Amino acid sequence: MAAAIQIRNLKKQYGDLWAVNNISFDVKDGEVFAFLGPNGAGKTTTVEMIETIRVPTGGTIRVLGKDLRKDVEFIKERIGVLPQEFRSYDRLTVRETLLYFQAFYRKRTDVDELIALVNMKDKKDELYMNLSGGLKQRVGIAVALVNDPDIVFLDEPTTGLDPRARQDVWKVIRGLRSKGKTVFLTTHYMEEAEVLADMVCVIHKGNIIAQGTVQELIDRFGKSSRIIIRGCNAKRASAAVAPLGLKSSSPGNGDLTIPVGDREMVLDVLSALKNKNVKYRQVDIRRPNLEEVFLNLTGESLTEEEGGK
Amino acid sequence: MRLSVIRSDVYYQLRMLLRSKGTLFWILFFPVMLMFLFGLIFSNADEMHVTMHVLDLDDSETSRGLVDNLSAMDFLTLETIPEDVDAEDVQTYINDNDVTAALVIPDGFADAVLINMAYYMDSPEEFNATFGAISPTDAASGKVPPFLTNFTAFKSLGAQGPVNTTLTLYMDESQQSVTGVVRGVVGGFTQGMNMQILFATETIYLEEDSSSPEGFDFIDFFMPGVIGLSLMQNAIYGAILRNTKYREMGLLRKFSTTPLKRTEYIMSKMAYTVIMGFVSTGVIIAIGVLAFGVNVHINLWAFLMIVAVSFAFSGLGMIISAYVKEEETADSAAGAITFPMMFLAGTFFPLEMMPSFLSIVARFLPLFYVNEGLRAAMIYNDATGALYNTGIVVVLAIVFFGIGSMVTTWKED
Repeated sequence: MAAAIQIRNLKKQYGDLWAVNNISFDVKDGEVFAFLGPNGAGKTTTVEMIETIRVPTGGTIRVLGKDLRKDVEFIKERIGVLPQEFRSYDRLTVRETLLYFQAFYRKRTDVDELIALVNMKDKKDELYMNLSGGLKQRVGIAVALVNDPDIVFLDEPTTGLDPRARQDVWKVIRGLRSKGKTVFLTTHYMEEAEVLADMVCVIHKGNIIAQGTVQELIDRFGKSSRIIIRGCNAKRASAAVAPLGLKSSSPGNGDLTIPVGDREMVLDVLSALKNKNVKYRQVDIRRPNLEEVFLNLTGESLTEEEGGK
Repeated sequence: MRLSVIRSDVYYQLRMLLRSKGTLFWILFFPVMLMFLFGLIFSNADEMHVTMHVLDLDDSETSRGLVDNLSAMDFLTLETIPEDVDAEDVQTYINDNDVTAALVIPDGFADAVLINMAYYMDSPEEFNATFGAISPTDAASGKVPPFLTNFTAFKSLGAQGPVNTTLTLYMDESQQSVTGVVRGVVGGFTQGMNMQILFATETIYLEEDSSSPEGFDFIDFFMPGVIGLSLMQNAIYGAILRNTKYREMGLLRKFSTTPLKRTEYIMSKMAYTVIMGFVSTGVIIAIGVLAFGVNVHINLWAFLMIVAVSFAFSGLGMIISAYVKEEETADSAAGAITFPMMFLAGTFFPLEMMPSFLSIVARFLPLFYVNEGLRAAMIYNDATGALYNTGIVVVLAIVFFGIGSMVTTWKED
């Protein structure tokens, strides 16, 4: 597949700080590309340079095969952007908002189809100011689609939304993918990247520290899976699995956590417990996730609110 | 620049405006309110009424004559201070009764008038001119006092030389408009009496006429000021709103990712500002004509001025908001510029009413030329004045709007 976006040696300097420090990556045509990193990692600076909002200090950006510096008008016609924390005019209806932004473009898509795509048929004549946060975000996404763009940039599209509204936005993004759009998604929610992304690029302090599919990242940088035996005599259970060569730990509340390198080990653990007649309430198996990948890569938590878990 | 983009932007802006009661109020009803408020306050200026209290300690024919003459003035109502109040108690009486103006006629006022008349009288002719020829029969009958029987008898009254007598006027200096009127009226009467005593003949006459050829009123002066003021406010605050609030909303960042050109955007906002300028000017003129009978001239200069003002102050707003990024701070900065300008540029009061150095200051204020130009064009129909002032505002518009357009950017650092 061709590269929809090609970034080479991109740099952005603010005073003494290199907000984006010589990064290179490709976004393939038709994929959902997640740019994952904590706040202040350089995600938005990078994406805003690609969106033509910010001017890079150095490096090249090619979008749809064209150099951003030379063919900016060509590129602007073919991308759609939802900027971070975007709000539209309070006193236009949903439909008017789409028509307003559509007037800027040569290529235009059918507004009513767009309203259907973001599931807002019953809200199309509602004023923007009267919409909930989730609906406003969906209008923002629809605005990014008025020119039927080849590439859609969504900068933190679900930040500040409740779980239900977040799910609705995800549904819209999945719909874009199935329509063959290239989606460039920046987020600091690892779950969002896990659920939506074909390709994840992890950025930290202006540098790309890992890139791959979710599974690749977990396989390479995630720790082992863990078996958690709940409601047991931790001492007896620990002794029971020791012959398998497994180290276990317990916080002292009747739970025992056993890291296992291979998921096949689960059966061995359970039969060992059965053989030693260790009683327990339930067994949880924890897969490593991107949060853990990030923690392992940087020693830092991805998001403040999720850091405590 | 694509006209379709500008048309669409203007269309949706007008839709939004019609849905925003608050903005509509400031754009349309605020100037209307100003018109009515100031129009009504100043159109009643010549119907001022003053109540003056009088203490007549002399209680003579002469003093009563003076009081009668004063009370004949229709804007003056006289109230008598009770007789039991004497000269020393007047101040207390004034304080206790909240008196704005009081006149005290001293005891011996009539006698002093007679003695002085006698002293300054030079001939029997003057005596006859003043008192009329007294027939010997009347003189003998005792109907007239002995000193009025003939010139010689009267002249002997003033043998001791002239006597001074003093009328005392008490006034509340906090009420300047009242004290001015009272001082003028009472002063005029004493002057008149002095002239009579001296047998002076009036040779210089004073006649009053309106100084403005078509009989302009205050409202004629004021209406163009309200137009200039609302054009300025709409333009400057509109530009600030667009560059601060829209930036904060992410709208400007969004625009920079679309094929919308900055010139298209700026020109569509200017088209909107100019349209709003014509609408608010129209509303103000309608009030002026219908409610206050202002005689308005609609001409090319007025038209050009409205466009130039919109560009000049939009430019100023753009310059301010390029350096002051927060909406509220930028609003305060605009207020700090427009508020003093509103008073100093002769919007509400003619510059002649201000200290002379302020009228020099006014010549450095853009709004001054706006006001002068609109007055020249709309009210006085003075092409030279309109051309001169409009020319200055056009130059300001080019400078401010040029700089404003250059410093306005959608890009982030």
